[in-house]
Amino acid sequence: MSQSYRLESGGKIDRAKPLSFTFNGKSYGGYQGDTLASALIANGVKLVGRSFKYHRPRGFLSAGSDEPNAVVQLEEGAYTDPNTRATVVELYDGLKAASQNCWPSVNHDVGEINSLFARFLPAGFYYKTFMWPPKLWMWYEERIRHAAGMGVSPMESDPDKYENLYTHCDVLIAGGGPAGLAAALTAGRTGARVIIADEQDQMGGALLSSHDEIDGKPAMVWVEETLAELATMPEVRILPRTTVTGYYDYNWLTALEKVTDHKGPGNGGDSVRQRFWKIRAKQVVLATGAIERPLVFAENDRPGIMMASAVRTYINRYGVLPGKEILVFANNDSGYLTAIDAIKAGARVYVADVRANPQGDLVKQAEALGVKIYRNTAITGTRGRKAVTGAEVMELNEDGTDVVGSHYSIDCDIIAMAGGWNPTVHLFSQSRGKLRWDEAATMFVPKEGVAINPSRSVGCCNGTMNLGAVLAEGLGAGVRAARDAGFGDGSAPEAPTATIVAEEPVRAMWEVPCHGHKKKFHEFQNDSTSADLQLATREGMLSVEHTKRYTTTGMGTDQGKTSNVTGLGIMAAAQNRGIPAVGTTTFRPPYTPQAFGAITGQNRRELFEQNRTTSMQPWHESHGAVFEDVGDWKRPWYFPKPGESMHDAVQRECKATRDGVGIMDASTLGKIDIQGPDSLQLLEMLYTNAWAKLGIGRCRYGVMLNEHGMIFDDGVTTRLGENHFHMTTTTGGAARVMGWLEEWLQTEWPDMQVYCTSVTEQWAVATISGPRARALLSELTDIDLDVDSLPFMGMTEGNVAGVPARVYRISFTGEVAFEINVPQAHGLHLWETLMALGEKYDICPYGTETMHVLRAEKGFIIVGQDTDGTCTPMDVGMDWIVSKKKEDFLGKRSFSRSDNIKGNRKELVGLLTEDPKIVLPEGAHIAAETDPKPAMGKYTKAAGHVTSSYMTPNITGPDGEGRSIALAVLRNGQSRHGETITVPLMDGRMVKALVTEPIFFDKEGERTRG
Amino acid sequence: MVDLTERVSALAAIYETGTFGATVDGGPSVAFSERRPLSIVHVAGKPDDKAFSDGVKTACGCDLPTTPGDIATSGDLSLVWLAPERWLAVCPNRGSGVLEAAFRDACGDSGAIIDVSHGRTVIRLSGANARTVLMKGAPLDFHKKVFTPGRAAQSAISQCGTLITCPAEDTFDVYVFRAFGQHMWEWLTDAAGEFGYSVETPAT
Repeated sequence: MSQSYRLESGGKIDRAKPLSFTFNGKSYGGYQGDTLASALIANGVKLVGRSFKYHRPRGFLSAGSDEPNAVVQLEEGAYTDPNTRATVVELYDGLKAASQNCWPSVNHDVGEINSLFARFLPAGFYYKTFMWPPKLWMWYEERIRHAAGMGVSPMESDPDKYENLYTHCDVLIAGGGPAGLAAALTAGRTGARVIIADEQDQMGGALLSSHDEIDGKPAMVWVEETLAELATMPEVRILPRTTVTGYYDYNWLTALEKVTDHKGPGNGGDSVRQRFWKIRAKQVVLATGAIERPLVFAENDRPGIMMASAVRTYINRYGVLPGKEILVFANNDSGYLTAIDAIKAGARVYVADVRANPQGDLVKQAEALGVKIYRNTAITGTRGRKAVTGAEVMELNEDGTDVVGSHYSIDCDIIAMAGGWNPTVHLFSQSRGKLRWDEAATMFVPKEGVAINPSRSVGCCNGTMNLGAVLAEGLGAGVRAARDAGFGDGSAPEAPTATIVAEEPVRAMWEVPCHGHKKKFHEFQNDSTSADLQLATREGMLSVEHTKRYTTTGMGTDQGKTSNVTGLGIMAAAQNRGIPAVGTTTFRPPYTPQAFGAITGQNRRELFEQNRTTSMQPWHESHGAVFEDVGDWKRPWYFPKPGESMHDAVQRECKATRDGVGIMDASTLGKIDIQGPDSLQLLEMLYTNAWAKLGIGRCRYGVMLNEHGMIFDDGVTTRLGENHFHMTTTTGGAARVMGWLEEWLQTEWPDMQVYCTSVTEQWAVATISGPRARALLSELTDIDLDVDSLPFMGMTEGNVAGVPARVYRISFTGEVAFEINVPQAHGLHLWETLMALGEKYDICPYGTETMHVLRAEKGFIIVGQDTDGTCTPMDVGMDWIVSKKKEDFLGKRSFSRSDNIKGNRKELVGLLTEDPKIVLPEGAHIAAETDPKPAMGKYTKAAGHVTSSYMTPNITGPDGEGRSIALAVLRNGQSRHGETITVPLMDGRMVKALVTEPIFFDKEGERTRG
Repeated sequence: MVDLTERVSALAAIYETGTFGATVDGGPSVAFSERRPLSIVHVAGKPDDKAFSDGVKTACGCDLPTTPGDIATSGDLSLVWLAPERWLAVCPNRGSGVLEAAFRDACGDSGAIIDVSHGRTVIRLSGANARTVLMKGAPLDFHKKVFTPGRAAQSAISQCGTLITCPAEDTFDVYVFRAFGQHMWEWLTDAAGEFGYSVETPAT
């Protein structure tokens, strides 16, 4: 099909640059500068999709981002993009688009049958029908969703790149129409940092579609001159194709820039496809324009029934005359602008005006051009199935509540609705600005003086519709915003003269009367009719928020941009109260849909989250370590030899460490340097035990409690000097402990003279453990490792492997162990030296799993695994670590809380299964009742649960081989040693286990101290 | 004492000099390098404690900057304001423990001095688009008139805490904890891809 609706001349398209594209598999032509919608209309395509509920044929309603009907599936494969508004897709060569929400095709849609049953599908139908029986809802939902569907998500990973970009400015201007450009001009002249953003590919806003004049010249000349001046200002940034989507507190706004979408998939080169701006603006000027309202009349949803301003845009901006016979249906003068432009472009034009006797300048101009005007007239029905072919019109009665007399029929292929204007107050409302209903203009406008965030609304979004006044508002707002941001004196230049059209008042008619039961849509995407709103009112939905959800009004991808206020008008009439009393629904960001990809930006795939690794990581990687995530860290979990399972590797590592020497990378432990005269006092408050007598060069284990008296971290702290300590924390708890210390120091104890500094990353730590550890270390250090010189829980400094080191005799395995700390950049050297020298000692590298097993053999808790924020030191059998003498420490007071002294608390115990080969699952519950086979459905209370559970080769079962061990928390566990308890498993087995004290290996601790 | 073995950078496994990213007219507009080896000491204390402030001046040759975000310099050493009562002293490597000892000796019992030379990775970005790269990650105001040479600020880039300094026009140093170094390097170079970037030899 040729572009038979394209005008010979005119419009801002480039006829020298033809483009070809396909829609539903069929090829069409268009021009550079077209949108997908304008190109399709030029080709005579009217049917583009099906409505959500009734699958009624739908065409183009608008020419902008408010479009509810013409949503298409753009492109294919990985690049496919559902719910794309054809009215905002810039045409490029090779574009592919398809209708959505129809099957098998837009012309023959099986779902259209819903339309025949429409009278059985009222508002709330799904709520009412599928609520019973409740368990079938999941089944219903799946089928309803299939039937409804709104396009198809891509199954492949997104091949495009996106980014976030933060910026700051003095004045952000949302909207590049006359008001926004005027504001940018005067704000920019002060030297302020200005950003002006507009969703279109070029600035100009409504002027792009009009024949307005400014200072006696075409308005676009003023636009070009303004842009030329702005381009000379280094602090002004002009962002076309950028929609300000969100307006948050403290003038924090988000904007989505479509950087290369208009070039087509894969053609963006090295640039990102979309950029998500996060803008902190000192002042904001909102110049977001207005959106035209449809009229709610009988059968107003057929393809070819469009907004009057959209028809005008297609004619003037895109050089497309959407129809040969155009009926304008108006309740105000703006529809006559369309009538005039359409008749000048060669169409036959009629106007049906609901006003009794309109006689304004535009009406007279139109009449003089030959437009046939039907005054005091309503459209009472339309014809045509896949495109409108005509309308019935009748005279209105005096108060506009009914139609009278006989009807006439008018043949037409376009009906252009001019139902008045809604200022685009979305961003203002998002910023918690309040609205005022202007009864005369029938529109919600920003209430003066209640912008909670510093913004100014100017132009049409402020209800100012006259071009001269719009320019004056913009010029004034620009200088005043700049002044409030610290630039200029706030004096505005005189506004240029502009086209003035004396307009007669609008006649509000929220629902146009007709005879008989015909559908009148106020919300096109979700098929919500005036009758639905009235039914909702009858069923008791008075709140606008309830009605919205009941009827799905405004819940489509367009978020009710065209439907919202007409819906409120119908609700107000049904409830017999005014529109302000009904109120509006909440305006939420984003203003238009934005892709998750853009929000995510670069942070995906390998850049999604940081991997913290230690300086020893290269060795671990090259020796086959399997890693596990601990906090942000990647830690070696175990080091399997070729062919080894995890079980085999861990059993080998456990045995090798007990029998010879094992080595682990412990660099991830949190480390905090504490200095200052009050360091000791701080430790006394943080830990439950006493620290005053700790000698220099000595280490002590401590547990930290939160205010509730519950354990939240533990570790060993070493005294380096009189007022100097080195604290270690759990790997995952390091940042939390640092924050805890700072919070207490900054908010509660600001007088304490003490400084805490994280030194986690300064030190690399290799821990060697086992009976041969001392012999190995003695080969590469000048430190005297004799037990008298460096006893258990001692620290000394010296050289290890030729590097300055601190060696701590701290043991988490229960063996003689040395934690060798060297400056991090020497960590790999230390590790490699130990491994090389350790070869003759059969040194065995082990990971976190073996560490867990070995410490469990010794009954050492892991905070966060054996404790869960509800455990006191007494609960885990550490009464010994709680000082009875200290006056105070964090958590002490909570020990006297009723729940902590009532008894029957869960306490740490050991478990030995009767069958030594069964390893209990961690998290398994211990049954409170010992009935081995509780009856089905019988409620069995848990008496506790398994917290740690492993197979170990170091503790032998009756058969002389390794056996399982477990730690658990059990009610009154400390007094139940020797009892047998039952652990029911998910597979139905009931496992019996002996309760023991929580230690299985070297109970006297002789190996540790040796 | 001098370092007895070579310090191994956290970026060692991925560091490759050359030109990368998009091919752009006029060549790459961002240059990356790792600043190393450095001596870095965390200095804390009360600026109105004369023993401390005099000691700092003796140790490094400059007065404590007390305006948030200011950097004082003396020769090849920078003293960066981090937080109330906290600074970071940075200079080319003076040998293991030397800078820390200089501060300790000069300050005596005042303040708290601790060596963190091994705990940081410092990435330098320079060139016309260096600030745009940072704007992709951090919500700070990097405008030329705001984030000027001699200024520093702390923020987060890709969930990592960073200290960002501006030592010279169009030049920025990004300090992260060493273990975040590789992630930060990969993130920043990814962000610079569209401009084309070069990787220079590490230098102090």
